[in-house]
Amino acid sequence: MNRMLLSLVLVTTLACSDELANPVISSDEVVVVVNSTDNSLTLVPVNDPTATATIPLGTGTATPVSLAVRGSIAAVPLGLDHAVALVDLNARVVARTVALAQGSGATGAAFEGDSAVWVANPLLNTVTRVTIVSGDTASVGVGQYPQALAAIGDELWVLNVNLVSFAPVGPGWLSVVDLTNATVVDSVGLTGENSQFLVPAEDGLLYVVHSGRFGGADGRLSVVDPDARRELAVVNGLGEFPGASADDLRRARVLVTSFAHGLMEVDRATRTLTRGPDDGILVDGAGFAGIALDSSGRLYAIQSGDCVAPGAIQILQADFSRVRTVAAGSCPFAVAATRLEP
Amino acid sequence: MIALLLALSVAQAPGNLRGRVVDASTGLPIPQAIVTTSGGMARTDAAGRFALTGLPPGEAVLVIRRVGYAPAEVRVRVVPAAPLEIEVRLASLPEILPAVDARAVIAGASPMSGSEARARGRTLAEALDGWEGVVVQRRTVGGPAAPIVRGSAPHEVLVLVDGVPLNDAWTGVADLSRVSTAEVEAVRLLPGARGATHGSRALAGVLEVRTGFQPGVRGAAWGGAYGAAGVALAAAAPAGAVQLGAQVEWERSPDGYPVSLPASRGGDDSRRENAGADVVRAAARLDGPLALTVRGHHARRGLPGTLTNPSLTGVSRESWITAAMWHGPLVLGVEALASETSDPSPPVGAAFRSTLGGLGIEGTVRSAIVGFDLEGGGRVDRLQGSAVGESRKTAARGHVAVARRLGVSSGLWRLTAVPTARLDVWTQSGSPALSLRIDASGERGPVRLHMGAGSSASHPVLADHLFHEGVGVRPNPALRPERVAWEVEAGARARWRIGFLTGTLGLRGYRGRVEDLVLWAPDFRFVWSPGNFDVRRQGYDVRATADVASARLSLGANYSRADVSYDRAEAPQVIYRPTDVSSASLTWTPPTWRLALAARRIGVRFPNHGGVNPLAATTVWEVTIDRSIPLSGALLDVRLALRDLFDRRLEYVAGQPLAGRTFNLRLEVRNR
Repeated sequence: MNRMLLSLVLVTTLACSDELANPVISSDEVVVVVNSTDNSLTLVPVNDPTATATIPLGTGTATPVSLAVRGSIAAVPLGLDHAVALVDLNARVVARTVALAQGSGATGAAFEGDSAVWVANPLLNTVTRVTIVSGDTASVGVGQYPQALAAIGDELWVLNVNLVSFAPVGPGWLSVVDLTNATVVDSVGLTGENSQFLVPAEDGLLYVVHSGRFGGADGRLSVVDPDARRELAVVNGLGEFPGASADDLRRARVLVTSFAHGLMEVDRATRTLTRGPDDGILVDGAGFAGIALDSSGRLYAIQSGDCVAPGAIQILQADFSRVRTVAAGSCPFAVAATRLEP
Repeated sequence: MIALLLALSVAQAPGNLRGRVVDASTGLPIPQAIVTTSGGMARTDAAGRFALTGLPPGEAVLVIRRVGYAPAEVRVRVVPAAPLEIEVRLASLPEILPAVDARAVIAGASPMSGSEARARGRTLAEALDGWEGVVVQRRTVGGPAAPIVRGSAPHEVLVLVDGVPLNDAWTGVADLSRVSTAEVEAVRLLPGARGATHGSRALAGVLEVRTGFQPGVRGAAWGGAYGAAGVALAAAAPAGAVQLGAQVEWERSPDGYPVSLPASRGGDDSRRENAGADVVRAAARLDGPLALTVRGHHARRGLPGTLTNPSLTGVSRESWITAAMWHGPLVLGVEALASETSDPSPPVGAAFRSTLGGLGIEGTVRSAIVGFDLEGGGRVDRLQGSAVGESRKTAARGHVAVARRLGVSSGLWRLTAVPTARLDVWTQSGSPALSLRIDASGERGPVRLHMGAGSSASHPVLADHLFHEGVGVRPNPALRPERVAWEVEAGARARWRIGFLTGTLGLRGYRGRVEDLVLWAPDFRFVWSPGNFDVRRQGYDVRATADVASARLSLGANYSRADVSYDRAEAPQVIYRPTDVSSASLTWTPPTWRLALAARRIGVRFPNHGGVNPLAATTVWEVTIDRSIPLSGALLDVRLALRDLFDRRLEYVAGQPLAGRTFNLRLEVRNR
């Protein structure tokens, strides 16, 4: 059921946007980049990528490294500010900053419809539901160091990285939260340590990137069936510290970023690594921190650089040929695409 | 026969000598200087004056010594019945220049006297904040207080107390709260890259502090808002051929003061707990043919964290002691540091306890040979503790320097030029670093002009090089030393008079390039470590004073602009460098009273490398009222200080506000 829902949502989104064979870029579509050390967002209009805008997320000691987008709203967990910023992308302002429990370390978010957003609190081992209009919050205990979320139908899937004192202590796992009564109803064990990123794909499956240990070159990808609630397969050989990923529904592939190896790709159908560490795509000799795709299938791959000078957004065709480079803020670390709504 | 006897008696009669000892660069009198000759010894008074009587006729050699100054030798001819009056100008020790015209070097700036320092605050941290463009950065009221000059980082400012660096060997930062103004005689600021004349750490400027104790006994006690309190006792007296002085002080700083939470934490009012500190400071000195100073402090400080990550359990304990000895051209110094930082229940991450112990020994020798001033010196530091990974770490450095003063008078202009070169070596770098500087100045009547150009190099801060690797932080073994590749500056200062108004006006501009500035930044995995960055630095300073002597009114104002940006197109201001600072003051000093109103403004600064989310410019107002009340045989000084009148709750660093509006009442009794 979950797989069907996930597929339906993604295919509907695609169908509403444009035809696969003849994509037309919507003037309302934007790519949103989280600049971690700036504590800001960079907005890149898809139809005019040079007309970027910066939205400061507020002063303080925030360490945002993730976001979720839905229509004209972006939810940006603020890390060590223990809060989540709800950003009005139309007005280009922070509409509301919702305080979470002290010590939350808010990282990872997912929308539950239009009315609520869930935020992971890795330092508290909980997830919090934030009502967008009122800012009301309610929390649920999950596993160890939850950091990535995906809402599928009436379930919230929570990726537990399984860190203690910021170091992996074993394989990660997924917690399943029933959204109707906000309780954990199941968990799914995974193969791989430092499980950092969670990608719901058009095929109805969840793809989990295990970054592994620094220097261990033991990155891998788990394929999880949310209906069966089990790990179906593991793709090994992702090398040194693979990171954020995205589903390319047009080419039925999962794109995995790596700072060391660049862009790698996994064929969803065969569950094989079709572009691995040895032939990863580097641009200007550098790898990537995150990736998103617009409705036409173009790639927006972000490069953090030295985290002081502005980072870069590399806009690539699906075949990895470069379209253009756009400047981001300092230390871009997460990216997502959305269509603005009035 | 009678005439012959009279002539013989005159020829053999003793002679008298009077004189005055002044600072060569500031012209201020130097009290407590020791003047010795084969025929006797004298000590200068508060006005720098001395007198020697009963000297044998003929040539005499006077040796004049004072802690913090290069000893001077003066040859005079003593003639009976012909009293001689001389003026001796001592060059401050850290500056190997003859320094005769250093007044022009600090165009627009005037030294701060000890009484002015005491009027501004109890420690150097309070006295120097807002003075001459200096910003004193701190995270809590009682926390370490570090100076910023020309938009620098604190470790780029060298602070010399009687010629001995106050910058600690570990962080490279001088904690100005370690020095009580009770022992300050004068402070002067030398802004700009001064590595050639002052050595490492002097990348953005030098603060020279001269200390000494006023003769007599004094005791003080004070209290204020949010639990602030303190007591101090000082005494100084001659003992035979030497002068002894000592001071001890205990201070408790405000804790639990109100703050406003950021929007991300709900925006409510709250209190900043665990922000207090208990500090004991002590200093002692002996002035004589051999001079010795010992200074130390012990501090227990709460580590309150940030507003978003507050800690009620974080604490730091630090003991620090330094001793320095002057004997002829030789200066020897010893510094010891022991610190512990711990938090059994931190807001983020696991409990921690970090320790550090260090011992440093340094020596400097100076000499003058055929018109050149030469200097050589070195320092060795040994560190151990969990902060450096438990194993002992050793760092050493050395230097040689040479300077020459050239001077010429042309018509009404008096011109001087001082070229200086210095070579530094240190163990963390394979190649030596050369620093050069030339200062040229001209003076005509009330106008002084100055131009300077130079380069500087600074050995890496040991804390950036040797810290213990941990989760989220990692050393950078390839870290390079910081260098000012070049910097040029020009300035002018003039005294003026319009009717009953007198005053000064100073202007100064500068431009330079800093290479390999060390800044902390995260890497692509969000692991933080120090890195090297090239930076452009340019700006200007404007200073103005006005006095109405008849009304006992003084006004002062200064504005400093400092654009410090990364070396790339459209680069933003470097993290936490204020774009501008300014201050203004009005002082009224009727007899036995002193009323001062002061405002200081710290411009926009950015808590990140991208130039967004700025901390807003903040202006803080202060009022100080002093009253002296004669008692029998003593004097009672009463001071009421009101700080941050409009409760701005200044944040030098994001999420770490200081106490807002506070008061402090201080009573001091001293013998007359």
